[in-house]
Amino acid sequence: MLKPPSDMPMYGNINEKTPLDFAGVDTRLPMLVYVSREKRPGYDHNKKAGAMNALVRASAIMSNGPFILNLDCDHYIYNSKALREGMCFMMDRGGDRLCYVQFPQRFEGIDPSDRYANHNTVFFDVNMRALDGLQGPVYVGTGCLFRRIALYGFDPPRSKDHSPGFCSCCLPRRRKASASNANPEETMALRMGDFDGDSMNLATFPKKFGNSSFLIDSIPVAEFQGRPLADHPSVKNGRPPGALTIPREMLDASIVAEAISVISCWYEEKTEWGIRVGWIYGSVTEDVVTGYRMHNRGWKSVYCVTQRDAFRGTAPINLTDRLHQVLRWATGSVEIFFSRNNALFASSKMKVCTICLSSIVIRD
Amino acid sequence: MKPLHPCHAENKLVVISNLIPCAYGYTKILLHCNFHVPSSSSCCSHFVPPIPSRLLVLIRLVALAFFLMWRIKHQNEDAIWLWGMSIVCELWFAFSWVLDQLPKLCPINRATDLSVLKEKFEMPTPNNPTGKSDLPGIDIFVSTADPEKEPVLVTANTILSILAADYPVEKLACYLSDDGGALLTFEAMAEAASFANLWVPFCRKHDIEPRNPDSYFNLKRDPFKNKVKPDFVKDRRRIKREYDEFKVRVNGLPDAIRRRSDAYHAREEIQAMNLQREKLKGGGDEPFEPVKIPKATWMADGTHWPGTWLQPSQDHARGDHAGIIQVPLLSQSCATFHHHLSQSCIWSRTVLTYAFFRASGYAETTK
Repeated sequence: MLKPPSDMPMYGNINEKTPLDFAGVDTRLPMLVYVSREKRPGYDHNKKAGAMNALVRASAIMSNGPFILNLDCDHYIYNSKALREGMCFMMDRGGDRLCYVQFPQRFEGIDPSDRYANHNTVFFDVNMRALDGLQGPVYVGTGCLFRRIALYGFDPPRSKDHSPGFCSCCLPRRRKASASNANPEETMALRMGDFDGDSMNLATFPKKFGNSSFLIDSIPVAEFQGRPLADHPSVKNGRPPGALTIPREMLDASIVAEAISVISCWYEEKTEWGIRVGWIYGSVTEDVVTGYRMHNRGWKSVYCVTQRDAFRGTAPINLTDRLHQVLRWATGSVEIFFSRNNALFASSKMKVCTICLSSIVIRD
Repeated sequence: MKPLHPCHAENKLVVISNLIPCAYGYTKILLHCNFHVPSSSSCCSHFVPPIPSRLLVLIRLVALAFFLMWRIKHQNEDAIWLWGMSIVCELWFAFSWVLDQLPKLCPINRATDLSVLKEKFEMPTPNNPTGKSDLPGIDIFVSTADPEKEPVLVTANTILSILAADYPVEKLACYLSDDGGALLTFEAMAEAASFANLWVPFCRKHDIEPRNPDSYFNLKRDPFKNKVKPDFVKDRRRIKREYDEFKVRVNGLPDAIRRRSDAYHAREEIQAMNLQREKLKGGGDEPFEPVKIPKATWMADGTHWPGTWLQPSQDHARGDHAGIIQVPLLSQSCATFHHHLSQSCIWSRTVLTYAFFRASGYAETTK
């Protein structure tokens, strides 16, 4: 049995033989898990997207946090309050329609003159902010706080009474034209009605998410826990205050055994992982495609610039690394342009902004 | 730190949402009609008026239209193909420029109000009399693939910054995905978990920022600014020393793993040889031949590492290993701190208390 951190603060004691005096300081630590998914020859492991999907499943079984923050190993939390900042957006009124909060990527260790434009200032400070005014910024692969059920490929709540927003009004003709050839198979969302627990069609889940009952049972829970507080009449589909103060369950051997089985390499066979669920496979820049699919279902995203940088990373310093990175982005954008993910064929829910998005990708 | 906008004064959700048509409660949208690149120093209050940039865009648009019209009307009869090609290119660039400008007409800034979040979720209310945190959980994923290309010390620092994040502890979970299945990454994580027992309370006690030890100790500004607790100097000195020792331990991990594996391997070989000798003594007449044991990579508790081995063999190579999930039992009571934690002492505390599971059998998984 593994005990998750208790929900009451544990204060240090003066009597304890610690090298430092932690009297009155909470000494608990969050749960930390090492995961290495199974790999076998003859399987396509889908690189980072595959690893991420394995983590999504394992974490659904072990802790099932309704939100997921994704960081590269060289990106650390620079502002310890960043998680709360992200939560402000998610827990906000109307925040239940946000699929992710993207934080800017900031780098340190760059030479002062920034010869190779490692900061990507134009992209992160002008273009992303610009997109934020429309449906939302793109997902750039790191420093992004996801809503778990958006990753699972569900529609946003109240998607039926979707009204065309500001920017689809400015080009109404294009919207209609694109609506007619919309909805290729992959972009169709998994319907879950208007988010009432019982209208979620649990019978179809094994085909989509695989045969883990633990995982399937965790989905409605994650959906419920991700709702904003219903503390105001104008909040639609909120949850009652105080619902999340109960402590977490203990991790026992059966839970960890189940988590092991969902990171095995055959688990994704004949499921929709990587196609409609989770990180999308088959692209050089899986990040952009993953975010794009969510926007396509009608989710919004938010670009969160905090006064103090939320996350920081180390950038490629030398020219070769930088060129490799730019090349990867360029291939990715060309690929997106010629693929079915091209914004020009977006569904009606998607607003015009994705067209602009593609242009940004092209220009970069 | 100056707030982005003085929305802290309006503590009520309703006030904010009435002000702003987008009905954001804890957050507030500040509409700017100009792009503003923030500098690190104080800024944010003064924005260039929106008119010039839009005007500029408009002027450029008109100029562009005139230019294209002129181009199309004045064909070059001598080299019509060249003219056609340049027209196509120019139209394309004009199109992409327009696409690029469209979203920039309405960029926005947002400001959050953390005090309202705290009040809503972490203060005692009739529904939540204890005042326990009502915030939803967050799972943080850190992805790494190769301990050679991505130094484990960097990964360990990232993990430390996550463990020390300011969020309710019981709601936070950190998952490290190691696509290489390397013991080095795992042991570095274990070291980080052990060092976190000191580092995280230290950060909480003294409000350290940033909570990544490497960046914190390399800060160029004065570390004692705004620190009031009298024991800060002593604590900081102590943590600095502990961190330096931690760094040395992490840097020494590759060697430690290799040496340990060699030692265990040698022991295993001797045991196998002894076994064979006994068989010979017992009347076996097969000729003596040296035993071949694949050279394994050993964990500190004397078992095989289920992931990738230093010398790859079947079932233990990159792209061919079992699924591994390990949960270090982070010391809850914090009772067993010793002054100079020697290598062996750390291992007895962290690794031996690991719950360790792996997929049951290779045969079953490849069916």
